[in-house]
Amino acid sequence: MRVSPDRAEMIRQFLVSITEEMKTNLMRTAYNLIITESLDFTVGLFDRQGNTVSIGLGLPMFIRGMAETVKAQVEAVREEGILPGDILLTNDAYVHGSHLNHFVFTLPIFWQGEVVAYACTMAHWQDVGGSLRGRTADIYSEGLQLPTVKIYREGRLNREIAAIIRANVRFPELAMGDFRAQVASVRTGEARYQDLCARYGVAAVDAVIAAVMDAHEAKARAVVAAIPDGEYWAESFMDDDGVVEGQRIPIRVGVRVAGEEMTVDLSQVAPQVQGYYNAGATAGRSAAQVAFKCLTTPTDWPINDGAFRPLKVVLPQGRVVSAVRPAAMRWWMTVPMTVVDTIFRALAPAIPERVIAGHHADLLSTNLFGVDPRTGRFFSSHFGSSGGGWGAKLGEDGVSATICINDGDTHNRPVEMLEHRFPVVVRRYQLRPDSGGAGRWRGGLGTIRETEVLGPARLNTPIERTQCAPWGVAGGQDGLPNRLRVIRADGRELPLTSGKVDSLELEPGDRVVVESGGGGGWGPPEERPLEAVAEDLRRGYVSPEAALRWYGVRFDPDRGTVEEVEAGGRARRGSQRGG
Amino acid sequence: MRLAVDIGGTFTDVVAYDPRTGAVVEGKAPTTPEGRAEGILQAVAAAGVLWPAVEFLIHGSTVVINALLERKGARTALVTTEGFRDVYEIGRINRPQSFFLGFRKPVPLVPRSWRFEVPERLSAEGEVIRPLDRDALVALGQRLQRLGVEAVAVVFLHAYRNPVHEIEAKAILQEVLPEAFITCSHEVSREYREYERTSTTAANAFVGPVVRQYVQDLRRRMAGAGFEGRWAILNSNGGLMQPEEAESTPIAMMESGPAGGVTGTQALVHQLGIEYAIAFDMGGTTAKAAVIEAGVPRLAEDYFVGGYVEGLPIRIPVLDIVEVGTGGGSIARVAPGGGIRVGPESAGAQPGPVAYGLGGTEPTLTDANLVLGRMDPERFLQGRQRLDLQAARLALSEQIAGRLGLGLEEAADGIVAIAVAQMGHGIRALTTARGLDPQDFTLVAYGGAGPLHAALLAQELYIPRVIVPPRPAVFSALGMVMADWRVDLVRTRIQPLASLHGAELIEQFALLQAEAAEPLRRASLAPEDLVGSWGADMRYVGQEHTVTVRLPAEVFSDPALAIPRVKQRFDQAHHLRYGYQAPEVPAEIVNLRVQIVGQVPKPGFPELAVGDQHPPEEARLGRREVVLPGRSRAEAVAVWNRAALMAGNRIRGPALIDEGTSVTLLPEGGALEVGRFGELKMEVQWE
Repeated sequence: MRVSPDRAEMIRQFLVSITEEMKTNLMRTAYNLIITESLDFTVGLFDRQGNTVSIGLGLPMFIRGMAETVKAQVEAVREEGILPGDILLTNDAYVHGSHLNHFVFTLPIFWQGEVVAYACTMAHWQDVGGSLRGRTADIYSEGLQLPTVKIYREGRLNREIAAIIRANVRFPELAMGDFRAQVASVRTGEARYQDLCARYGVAAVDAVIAAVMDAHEAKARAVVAAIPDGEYWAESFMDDDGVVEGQRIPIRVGVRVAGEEMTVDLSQVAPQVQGYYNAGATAGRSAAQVAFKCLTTPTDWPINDGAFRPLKVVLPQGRVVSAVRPAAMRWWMTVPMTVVDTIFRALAPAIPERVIAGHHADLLSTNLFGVDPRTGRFFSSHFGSSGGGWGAKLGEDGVSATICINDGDTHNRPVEMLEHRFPVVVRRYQLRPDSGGAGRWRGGLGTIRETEVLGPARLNTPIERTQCAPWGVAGGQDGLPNRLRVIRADGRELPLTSGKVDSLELEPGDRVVVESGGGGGWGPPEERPLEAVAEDLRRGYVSPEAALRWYGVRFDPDRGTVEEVEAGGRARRGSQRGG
Repeated sequence: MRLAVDIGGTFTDVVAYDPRTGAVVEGKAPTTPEGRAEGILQAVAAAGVLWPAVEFLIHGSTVVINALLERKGARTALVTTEGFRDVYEIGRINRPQSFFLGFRKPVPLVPRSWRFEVPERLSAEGEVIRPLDRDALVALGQRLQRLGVEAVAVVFLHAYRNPVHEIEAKAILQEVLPEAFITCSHEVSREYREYERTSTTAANAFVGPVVRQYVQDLRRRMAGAGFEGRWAILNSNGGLMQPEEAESTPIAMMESGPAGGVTGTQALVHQLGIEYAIAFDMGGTTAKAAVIEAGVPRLAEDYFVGGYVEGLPIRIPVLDIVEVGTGGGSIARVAPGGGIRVGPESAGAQPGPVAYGLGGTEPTLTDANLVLGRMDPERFLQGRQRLDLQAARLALSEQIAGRLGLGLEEAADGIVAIAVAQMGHGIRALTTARGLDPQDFTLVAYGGAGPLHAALLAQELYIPRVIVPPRPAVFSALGMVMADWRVDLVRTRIQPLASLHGAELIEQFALLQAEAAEPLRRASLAPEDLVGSWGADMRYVGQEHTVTVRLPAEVFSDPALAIPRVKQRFDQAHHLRYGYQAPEVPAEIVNLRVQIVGQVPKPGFPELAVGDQHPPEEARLGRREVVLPGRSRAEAVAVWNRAALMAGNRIRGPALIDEGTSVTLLPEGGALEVGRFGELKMEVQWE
């Protein structure tokens, strides 16, 4: 069917607006902070086969989770059949590839007696039961597992299953608030999609969806075609799996480019681990897709599966990003982020002008829990990310203090809010000088957040990438890696060997300091213009000592100017390097 | 004589109203960027108004928003609690363009080298846990003096709860820096969330000296021209404020211009007995919309100067006016893959559409309308600017129609349809996301391009009723004439409802109300003219986002019942907004809200001479070849001269009502009646 270009554009916009409206409704009605402040959710529309038609983010790393879940859910009820008013629900970690906190609601959209699409929401619930300790070694210690169920049958709630959910989570009111918000969101998607079909006819809608997918595919192919053919490999590593301490997890990633197609080979990524840093294959594929989207169609909407047709992913089962039952998945999001970064790293020799240097690649979460001395009640607080440095690019310094690539429009928690809700005083929240890798373009700065506890509490932190620094590209230097410090009330600092602590006891006055990594630099530091170095010094992004070491300049703080230690030495070093 | 002056990006509009005779005159002059007062004097002269005859002048201006967007402000320093000078640069760490590696963050108005810390600290409950270091502050003041700062923003943590340290710091700094503009966070916002409050306070300081000079210059120039009356400035909340308030809280002028149109809409629908309306303002560069519910426009929950992605947040009471698309200058392009895209790029007013002949080369929405015959090249801006139809046709046919294999008219109609659909999504996001249905609203359309697209937009949103107010092209200025004095105060005071007594809550509101009344008392308003209303931002314990709940006087008639009644109101408001309520779940108050309206005698909209059902013959401008929506060929359509229409006249669609500065399109099947105040009331249909 041929649809006129103006109608096609109107249908395309309508599709985007449906997922935006689903997203707004979910955000405004959800109960927990992780959804409303961190936007730890995604909503979407899917075609009859479960392919992505439009996604409203949410988290970028959820780019595959819903599509795979919709397919699995539809398969699970194939024999029983599906009726108008049914809503399917699951939190199966090995289907959506992430942790049990993600509950996925899928509603079949009927039009003239047939399923024409699916509306789906995936959102993070604050608590799904399981061990309060951070450290888990299998899925059973991580909480309630719900295989695909019909939580609504023809519009009626399945009360038995709702009761099971309530009985298995620590904050049933919160959970059911989020539950209602997700149901309202998929119903919004249903009503608006039916309006779309009524206005333009289902045949025109289908035709435009197909055309949009083809257009995004064509654009992605054109970008890949411009990358020199070849095979590119890069390696990085994670600190450890949180259980076998100090045992590094290698992340070796290959990219093959042949003509208009790209293959991301994850077969040499480390095997699944004993600890809780595993992710399912869906998350492994998501990582490849996120990197691919960033490089090919970063600002094209709606996000749809057409854009990924030129991408193949090689991912055998049993890797740390394709883990199988009963692998522990609680901190699923960390390794895929480093996979994304490592894909960029692999492509750096091929397309240095398109990639970005390494970033801090971690959420830097801290979970404090205990009894609030102000109220006498139990509290459990996720402090949310404090933001870290991003890598530099050709032509631009890296961005400072920004959420890692797993997340997108995720906000930090205001200090004034944290101190109101939890028994803490935040001592400082600042940029971390000298954390950005030196270079012609400097890496972005990380942050430092220092939090003092007011009552006895326990601390879990799953902070990664404290050993593998965000790398520089094209001669740029590495940024500083992430770092966790715990300082007792008497000033004594705990000797920590990694960013992970499990249920560490804290006393009043103890301080937790989270220092996030800076981004890697791009290009040789000696090519950075003196004026840019001087401004870094005036602003305190770079200390005088570091400026001397990295850029070979001395700073006059009174006049705010710099001079080269050895006149012309920077240029000479640069040319030697070039030769 | 009441006079309103609205300084926009391109033109300065003046509307004068004589309440004794009901006469309205308008004038227009190009905005003069450097000496803005000059443009005002010229526009007033163009309207033929004599300064001594002006008793009351109301002023709206883009001076603040322009200074912020262009980053032309004072040399500003920021002083914060020790450990927190980077809050302003760290921001909220979010990345709205999730896959775009070239993303950027909002850039603070004050660079790190101009941000300073002093030892002091309050707790979340507002208790002092570390006293303010006065010596450090004196030393800092001296350093700022050496640096030559012109403005200082002081932001301490938890000052929304207890401003004691900010007050003390300001006094110390002002002593060392007597000439500097010094502003504290508690003076501009008493809401929690330190980044947003810092950004607001820094912006207030940044524009402070600019606005102070602007206001003083205006005062001097107008007095020099013979003005002896009183004057007021339109606040972003849609009400009037004294010029002195604008000098101390200039940031309140942020949306001063667009607020005029919303205030005008509010006044008009009030006179017409309409409670639910969408104010839709479409000009050359932007299209904006605001929702009026139960007769009242909403205040925005968030506001960003420069947009959400890279803009800085400003937390002040500002009418919820949302950009829903670009205006007549939106550029149409062929998208890769063969679709048509309209905007977001805009040719604005400079160089403007191709037809302006001022250097625009890409076809715009205005060019499309011209090609469709919906605008008359001869009558545009009353003939002051001729439009080049041929150039518009050529651009559209070469750049769009030819490349897509479409007919010229088909392509032009498609461009208009896309722009309308796009604005429809924007407006729907405003209404349905709040649990409201656009069908329950009347669409009130103004701005130069609003009336031309209003009926189409109504069809898109299934809105049956449309009103085009009198003088749509200068309606924002006209609306200012209708404004009341108004103060809005918001105070974060997080408290579980269960822990509160009715009498306690009443006392909190009464104190806040006394504070809100203070500026109006200074404006010499009598206490009996002040109408206060109370409200609260509330949530269920455990939620983060809040719902604003109106709390009318009857809620508090019996203090013993006040708390359960507040809870009940909240449950209802929550249900309306979200579709469910949880009466068994405890609720808490986050913000207290007090609004005071100072009602002064002001004119209503002047009434039009009454005619009968048939428009007078002299209103007929003949027929023009017009391509109607969804058609591919032109047909003869009746054109009417709005200035000659009389109240009670009826017109059947299809028709165009031309008034030189604006054209109203009445589609086929639509019916129009001229109302009492000259407003065009349209009823539209859809398949």
